[in-house]
Amino acid sequence: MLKRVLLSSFLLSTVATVALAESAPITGTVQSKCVIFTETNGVYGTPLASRLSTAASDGGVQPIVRFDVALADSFLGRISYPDSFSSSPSTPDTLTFTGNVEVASVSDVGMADYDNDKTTFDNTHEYDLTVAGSTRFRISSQVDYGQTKPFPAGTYTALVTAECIAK
Amino acid sequence: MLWACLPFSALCDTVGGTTNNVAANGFQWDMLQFLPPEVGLTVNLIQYEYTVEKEKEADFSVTISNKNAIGNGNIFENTDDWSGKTGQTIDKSIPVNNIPAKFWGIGSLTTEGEGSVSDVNIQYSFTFDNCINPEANPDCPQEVEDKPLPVIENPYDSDEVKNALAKEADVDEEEDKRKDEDNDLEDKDKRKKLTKDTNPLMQDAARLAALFDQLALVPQFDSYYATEIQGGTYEETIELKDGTLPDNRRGFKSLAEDKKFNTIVRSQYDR
Repeated sequence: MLKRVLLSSFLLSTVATVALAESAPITGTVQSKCVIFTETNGVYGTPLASRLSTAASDGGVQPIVRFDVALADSFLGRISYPDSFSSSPSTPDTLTFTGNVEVASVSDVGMADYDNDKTTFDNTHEYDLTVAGSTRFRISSQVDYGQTKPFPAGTYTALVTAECIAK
Repeated sequence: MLWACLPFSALCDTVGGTTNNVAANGFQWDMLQFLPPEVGLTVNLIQYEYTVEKEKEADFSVTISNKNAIGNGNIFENTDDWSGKTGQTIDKSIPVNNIPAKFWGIGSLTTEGEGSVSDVNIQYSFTFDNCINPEANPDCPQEVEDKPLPVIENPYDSDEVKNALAKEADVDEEEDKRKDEDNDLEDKDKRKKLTKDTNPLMQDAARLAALFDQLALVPQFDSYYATEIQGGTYEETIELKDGTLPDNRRGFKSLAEDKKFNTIVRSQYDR
């Protein structure tokens, strides 16, 4: 019985000691220095029964993504055109994805050569965002199905990936 | 294109807008044709977009500027130097420090070097106070003018009243006194009669008294008298045992002192 009482006292004193401790938080808010906006959503047109295309001449709409960079020479812009459908009807035959990413407009003359200086691997285009300001990128996508096989009826959705990566 | 703030906003008098494309018909434009003629209008932003076509190595620059309409030089000037750059579409916004409309003279886009521009779109954003001249806009709160107060003439100052008052002053004072006494007696009789005739309480005083008696006799306390409290018998529980109680010596002493004290006290009266 005594042991229990002692134990209880110990616990209480321990709690009291813990309650006396103070933790002083340090908080800070960091504003994003690179923001990505989707200005225009893309739409696939069907110039052929076996082809989906975002080209305006094919009845499609090319998506436009804008990068707003507040800090020069600190970020890489990485944009990938689709290489698969995120949702679609069943397509047992071969799908061939092609596409491109290019600068649509710049807010500073210093961005004029972004397209010349970009690096490309697979379906990804990587831009060195050396100048602060806004840059719009236009993405094109085309999908061909089988050997000129008509696409099954349904809705096809593909995603463009845009990332801002700190250097 | 114009925008205005919501009516419940504190800045509901401020109206903003953007001009149409000033370069739609050429690379030189008159601001008077595009800015509204509102008083107090200021320009706060210039947005422009154009596409450059050139060889990368070529020297080429594009300048957008506005003459100072009431002074020398330019009120605004911005040059994009495309020398050594690939031709590209530029979409740029340049804030300006709320420069009043009167300063904005002829605007122009000029190029220098080997290259060309196309798809030019230049727009000016502006704001103005819609209520800077409230009289011109009925939607603005109107200022209330200080209207002259109407002159009210004192009716006792007129000649007619003064003459009438002077005539009354000439009446014989004794005759007035006699009339006043008669009037007083008449008034007392009239007041008594009126009181009896018009006061309902006085008309039937007996009935009123009976009513009060009746109210006073209403037995209002029956609930108190009729209540029965359930009681019982409290039996004696303390049993005292017989014994000898000794005299209280202290009490005797106290009594003796009391007698002496009484004697002293009485001595002052029993002389």
